[in-house]
Amino acid sequence: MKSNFKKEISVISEDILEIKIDLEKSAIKGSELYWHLAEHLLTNHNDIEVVASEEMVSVRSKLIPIDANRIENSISSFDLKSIIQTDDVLEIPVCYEPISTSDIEEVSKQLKLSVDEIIAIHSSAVYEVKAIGFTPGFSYLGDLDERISVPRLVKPRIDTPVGSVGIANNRTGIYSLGGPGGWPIIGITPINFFNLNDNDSLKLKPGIKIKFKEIGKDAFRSIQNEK
Amino acid sequence: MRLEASKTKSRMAIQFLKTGLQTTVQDLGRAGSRHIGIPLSGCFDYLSSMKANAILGKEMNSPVLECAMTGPQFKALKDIEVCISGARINQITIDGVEVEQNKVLSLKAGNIFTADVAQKNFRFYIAFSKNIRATQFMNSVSTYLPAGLGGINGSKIENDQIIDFVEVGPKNSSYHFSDKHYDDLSTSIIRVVKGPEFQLLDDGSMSLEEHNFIVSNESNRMGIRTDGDRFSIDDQGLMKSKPIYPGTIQCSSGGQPIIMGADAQTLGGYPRILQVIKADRHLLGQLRPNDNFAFKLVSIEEAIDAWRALKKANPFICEL
Repeated sequence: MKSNFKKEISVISEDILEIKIDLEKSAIKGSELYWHLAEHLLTNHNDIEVVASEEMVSVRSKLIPIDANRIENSISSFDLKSIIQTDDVLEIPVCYEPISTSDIEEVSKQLKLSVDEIIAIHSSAVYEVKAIGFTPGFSYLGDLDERISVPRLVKPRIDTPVGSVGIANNRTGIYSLGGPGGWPIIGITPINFFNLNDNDSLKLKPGIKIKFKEIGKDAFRSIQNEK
Repeated sequence: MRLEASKTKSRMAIQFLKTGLQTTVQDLGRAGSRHIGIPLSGCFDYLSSMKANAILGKEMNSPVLECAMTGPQFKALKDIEVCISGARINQITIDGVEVEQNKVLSLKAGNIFTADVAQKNFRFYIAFSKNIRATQFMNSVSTYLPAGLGGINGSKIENDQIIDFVEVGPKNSSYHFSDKHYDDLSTSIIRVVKGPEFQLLDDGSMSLEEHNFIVSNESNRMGIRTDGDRFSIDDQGLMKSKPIYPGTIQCSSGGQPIIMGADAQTLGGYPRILQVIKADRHLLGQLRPNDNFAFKLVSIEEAIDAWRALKKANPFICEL
């Protein structure tokens, strides 16, 4: 499998390029492959920054101009066998009753589905972590059932409450930090996925599976108070 | 954290009497952790912070205080040298006596240093002859406020705060600027290259460069939001989130571009229509609410030349 990747490298700017791999013959999904490729590149170069999304790896070089050949050469030594897969499903409690910011009523009108139907659909699926990033502790989970697919907000929010659970297109995600955000919010989790003092809080990585469990306001507060 | 005079007397530290609008500890940021969602952070106008460190003969990555719009007032508890660079400040004083920007300033124990307000531009940097003692996180002490990382307990400087310093090795040779070297940084034209989703911009009646933007009050270290003209863009909000960096310009269907800042998130879901060239990225830290600016589209070759020219004009710059 080693070094057989068909790849497309696009130079974006004097210091940024993007790598896409032809996944047609790959047994492994793009989200996981790009995440591991990003880690591989970072191990091989100490003068770059990398970001993996579901569709590509992006590289920023500290040196200008970026040396595309050097990056391309180190993709060849990337070994798919280094990826270890797991079947564990992590359960994440979510309160769908509006506690702070919530767009669930608007989403309900937009989709012509009741709030209960949205909750039932959102909390019944098993999701896979597709990408991590945006802000520390944010993970992109999918696929979201197409019956509850909505676009991003036309104007992103300045601030989104910590723990907010949003949906956008075929993804759902948790705003572990708060801050700006463009996804309609339908719930909130009391679990903190970015805690500096707890290495275990960064446990979500591409490939890991999760499921949401509906909880009420009281359960939300009691889990929050445990910490 | 108010300490008794006896306890602070012999301490290598400064004590804040006024904080300024948003004063944070920054270095050149935490490159190398972007893949796990940790932003770069660091000095927004890194050229000015490097300049202050260069004048003091410090390493380029030495921690500095980043001030926005209004500066702090602090008392030196022991002798220390400082240098202030960046936005042109209305008045800088030591015990009420006016002093200059871009010069080595010697503070004696008990002296009170005040930097009041930026006349033009937005951010200025105070470097010190010793190193600020701050929280390290992933090889950087840069403050990232949204997650409380780095800096002084992950926060901006507060009233009465005391910050300590640690000794540093011998100075490098100090950098001298000629008197003609003014600080006013022109931010009216920001040079850009095409972003990966550039093609989603409609060729309307107005060319890209004819659009005039105003820096919104809602801007911060994560991003510069804009008012003023809008781009016409074909975006349904359906894109999968894609990698972004400081200097990436995203645009939602609302048409108002958002320029990602020093604390830029790592993935973004709006089309990446443009990318600010590296030679102009430090200028983004000097955009002040209500400033006007326009974009100028250049080629990648021109962007490379511009960076080389910037390095030639400012030989102290390090790669970052």
